[in-house]
Formats: sequence, C-alpha cells, structure tokens
Amino acid sequence: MINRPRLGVFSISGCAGCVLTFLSKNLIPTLENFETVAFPIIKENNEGKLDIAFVEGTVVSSEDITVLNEIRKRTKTLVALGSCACFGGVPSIKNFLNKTKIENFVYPRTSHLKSVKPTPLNTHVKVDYHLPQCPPNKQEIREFLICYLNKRKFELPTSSVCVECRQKGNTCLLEEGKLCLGPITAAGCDALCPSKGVECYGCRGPAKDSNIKEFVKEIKERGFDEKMIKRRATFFAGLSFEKKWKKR
Amino acid sequence: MEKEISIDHMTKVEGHARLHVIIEDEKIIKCELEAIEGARFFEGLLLGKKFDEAPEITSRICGICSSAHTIATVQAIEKALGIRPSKHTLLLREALIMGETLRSHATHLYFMALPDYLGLESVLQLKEKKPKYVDFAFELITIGNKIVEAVGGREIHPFPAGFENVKINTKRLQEVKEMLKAKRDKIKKGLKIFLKLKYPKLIRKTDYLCLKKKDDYAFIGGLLHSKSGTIKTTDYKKHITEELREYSTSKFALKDGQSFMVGAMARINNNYEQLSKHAKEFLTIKPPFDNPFYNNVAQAAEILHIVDRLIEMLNKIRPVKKKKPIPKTGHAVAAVEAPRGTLFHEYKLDRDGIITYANIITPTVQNLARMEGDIQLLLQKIMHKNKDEIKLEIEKLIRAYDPCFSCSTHFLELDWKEYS
Repeated sequence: MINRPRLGVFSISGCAGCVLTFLSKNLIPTLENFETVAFPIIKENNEGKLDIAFVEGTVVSSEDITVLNEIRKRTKTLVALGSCACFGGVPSIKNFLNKTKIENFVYPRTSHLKSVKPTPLNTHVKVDYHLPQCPPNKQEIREFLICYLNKRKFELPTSSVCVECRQKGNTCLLEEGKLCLGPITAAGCDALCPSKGVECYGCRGPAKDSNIKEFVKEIKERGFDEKMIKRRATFFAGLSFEKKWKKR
Repeated sequence: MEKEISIDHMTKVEGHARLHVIIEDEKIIKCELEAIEGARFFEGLLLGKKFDEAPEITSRICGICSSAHTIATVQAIEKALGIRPSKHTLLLREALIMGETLRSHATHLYFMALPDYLGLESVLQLKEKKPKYVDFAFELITIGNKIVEAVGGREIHPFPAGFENVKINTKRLQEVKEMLKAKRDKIKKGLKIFLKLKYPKLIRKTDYLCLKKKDDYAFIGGLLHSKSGTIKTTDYKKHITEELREYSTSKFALKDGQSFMVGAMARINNNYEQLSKHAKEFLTIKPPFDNPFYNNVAQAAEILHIVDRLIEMLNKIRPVKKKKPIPKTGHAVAAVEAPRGTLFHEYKLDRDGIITYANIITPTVQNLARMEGDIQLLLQKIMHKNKDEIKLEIEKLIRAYDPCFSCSTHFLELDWKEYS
C-alpha cells in the first residue's frame, strides 16, 4: 500500500456531525485506501501536505478564515462536506435576521468573538467538490471516495428531491398542507425526510433543474405566501436559494 | 522564574480550544481555558421561529448529542404548550438518548481517551497494534447508530420524536435487542480495560449535578440533584449562572457561585443505586469518585447500564400517534441528561407559537470552570516535569471530561516561555 493519497478531515465552526460520519464502520474499507495524515478530532499529529481535504462547518469568525486558508494551502483537492461547508448551513440563518439584535441577545459583549458574516467555504477559498446534506450522506461520501481513487468524474444529481420522493411512491406532503421544499431542492438524499413524513428544509441546496417561479405559483394556491417559502429556505442554504431567487 | 504555557489548537475533543497558563515562582498566576469555537448564535437564530421549527435548528448545535438537543427542545416546548407526553413517547425518547449516549461514550473512550493510556498517537495506531479494541468500539457505535436511526429516522440529527406521528422501525429495534442480549457478556468483559488503566491521582471534592429519579437512572425526567439538595428544573437560573470571560467564546457556568461537574461521573455518583445489575457488578471500584479521570470508568459503567435497560425496554417501543399541537402563549424549561451531562433548554412562546426567548446551557459550559480548577491542581503536581509529559497529562485530563467545544481535542501545541 504505497503511495496512498494523503487524506485530511477537518472542522471549522460546526457541530462535528460531518466528521463523525467519517468514523463509520461501512466507510473504513474505502478509507483504508487513503493515508490519514490529518484528522484532529481523533489524531494527535496532523502536520504535512495533503492530496485531499474534507472540511465541515461554516465560516463564522476570522479564526475560521485563517484555518481554512491554511488547509487550502496544504491540499491539492478541497471538499466542502455537509450543508454548512457547502451553503453556510443553519448558522447562516443569521444573514436573514437583524445581526446586532441576534448577537446582543446571546452575548452582552461581542468584540472578542471576531465574528464575520456566516458563509460557505467557497466564499473564501477555491472549493473543488461539494458534498451537501445535513448530516451528509454516507453512501454519497463512499461513492465520491471511489470516484476519486479511480480518477472518475463525480457529479451531483441535478433533479429535485420531489423526483426521488415520487419514485418512492410517498404521499405528497404539500397535499397534506406541509410546506415542503422538495420541488426546489437538489436530489441525492433519496427523499429521506419526506419519506419519514417530515417536510424538506432544503439542506442539499437549490436543484439546478428546478423552477422556483412555478413552485411559488403552485404553493401560493395552497395558502402559503412567498415570504413563508423564502423564510423556510433560509434554514440550511439561504444564501444559495437567495441567488437562485434573484436569477428567476 | 516565570513560565508561560500556551496550548494552542486543542483538538481531539469536540470543538476548538486552547489553554494559557502563567507560572511565577512555582505559583500558577494564570490558568485560562479558552474555547475558540466560532460563535454561531443559536439562541438568537431561534427568535421569531415557530415552535415546531426549533428542533431542526437546535439539533445542529452538536452532531454528537443531537438527540439530546432535539429532546430538550421538544420537551420544553411541550411543557410551554401544556402538553404531557405519553408513557410511550417518553420510552421512545429514552431509547433515542440512550442509543446516542452509548455511541458517544464508545467514541470518546476508544477513539479519544484510550490511545493516550497505551502510549499511542491515535486510534489509527490502535487499529494497527490492537485491532480488537477498535473492532469492539465499532460494534458499540453501530448498535448506538441503529437505535438512533430506528427511532429518530437517521443516525445524526434525528427527527423530533414527539410533535407528531413518529415512524419507528420496530423490527430493527427487536434485532438490536437480540444482538445486545447475545453480546452483553462480551461487552462487560471488553469494557474492563477502563477499570485497569493507570489513571493519574487527582483527588478533589466538588459538587455533582444531574437529574435524579427514585426508581430509575434518569436521562430525560426527574429533578435536578446535587449535594446541596434538590432543585426544580424551572429554578435552574437561580442556581446556575453563566458568566462571560473575555478570553473565551464560550460562557462559563457556576452553581451557587462555585465550580461543579456534570456528566457520567456526576450521574454515577448521584444515582449509583439506580444503576442496573450488570453496571453495578462491573464497578469493582466503588463510587463516589472524586478523581475526574474516573469519568472514563463512569462512562464504561453507563454503557453497561444502557445495554441492560435497552434489553428490558426495546420490545415495548411502538409508533406513537399524536395530533399536531395547537400554538399558545407559554414559557418552560426542560433538562435532559446528554452524554456529557445536564442540558437545559428554555423557551418563551407567544400566542402564535413563535419563539420570543430562548436560553440553552450545555454540559461543557457547566464543566469548564471545574476543568480549569482541575488543570491548576494537576499543574501544581507536575510543573517540574518536562514539556511533553505536562502536555500529555493535561490533555488526558481535558479528554477525561469529554468536552464538546463543538468538537475538540487532539493536537495540543505547547509553547514554553521561560523568563528569568
């Protein structure tokens, strides 16, 4: 096993859910094709050049930017892991609220926090691949790793969660009066939440093939207004949905 | 002579932290544990959200204890809305939190703590040298994952068990039960290594806080218990105060003005009587424990308790049918035992069920002050040792607490500065 690609798994400000997904029994056989050089949550020594680095979390402080730049400098390939790294995730809800009010509600003094606007990795550095979803999809991580090892092209699905959901024969949650973002959210989760009866909150970001205009029209007929939809879309990928909204 | 020690980038704990120590004439004049995890303002993000949207947000505070956050949110909001969960709902939540705790303890014990005691750099080296430990850890983690997934719909960030109908994979739970039954003796034997490790001697008295029930080892209900007596959950703010320290992005909590400890060791100390048969048999060293390193022993014992309890209850779990709650004005607090200790969630709702106030106190925030105190005590004993030894001993202590700075701790970088 010489010349295995050198792997790093990092987190900036986040919940560790994504890096924990790597510590999974079913991923181990695939990961054994890599040399784990850096993995701070389980490793004492984390120095050295990398071929591929996975990073979870949202950039929320100047410290995060420093750490992210350092990782970018030492790796050939950088992968944004999870919805925070890909879109800003839950912490990026703050961008759609009154920043000062929110900050002062939690901390009476904020100067020591060195807070910056909650943003995804690609706002600050070049990101080679995105693996969205909260928490990330183990099967998709495995497929990505296999593609990387075999130098095959990896692409995310462009259709919507709605397509996957229908293929599974689920009852439509919109029909049940729930505000489900399935029609405008990117597929790849096998419609996990709607299959459990939970409405889609858009954690895989906007679907390339989706038609937001049509969706808004249809959902208005069901008694929701555009403001409610926009607000719901801020939960995991607000900044990305906002861009798509403006393009429409 | 003056010495300055700063440990940058503590990793191998959940989150990011550093430590800064100044020693003058063999006296510690500064010992600051600094959380450098970026502030994500969760309580602020909850303002203006509808009550049933809250668990989607709070579970993202921590991927390791997302079930605990979800349950704390749901139970506080239920109370605020005047809803009493059924026995079955509570059983379901107990299974969820125990599955999560089993997995969290196993991850901490084998992936973060154990390599230190065997002189290894990481679990990766452990896998090369003693693969059976790592295989065993994965067996435990997989069991935990299966339970959380069967009850919560996915392994991390489960769907909120409680506001509406919950789809449960009862067949899977039955399989897990049979698996646990078959493996109980193996698990009991396997965990014995944590009784035999050579823990540094660090005895200090402190107050231990956790939930307590009369006839059950409490995870999701009961009253708050400590040596100073019983506290109603709603009165938590009268006793637990949070203070801001300029050097840290985390707040520090004190109980009645003093540092204290929450987590597995606090629970074992306060609730030994309620432990299961096999957990009691396992504990050949008897509590109460006053050495923070014994938190590792306490976690191992809790794994056995959880195994016993799950075997007893997994076949009683079935799907719960509920109606969607009707919004109304309310204000309530809930406390649950997360893997790392007591977790508080408090919410105020307006008449439309919109959140107008939120306060969350996590276990690590409550342990930080005690951790600082213990580091000082340890430093007094080991300040004559060399840099690498001091570094390892402090790291071991911090890891024993299993802190969650939102994910922390292996590489400690230690800078020595000596002045004369």
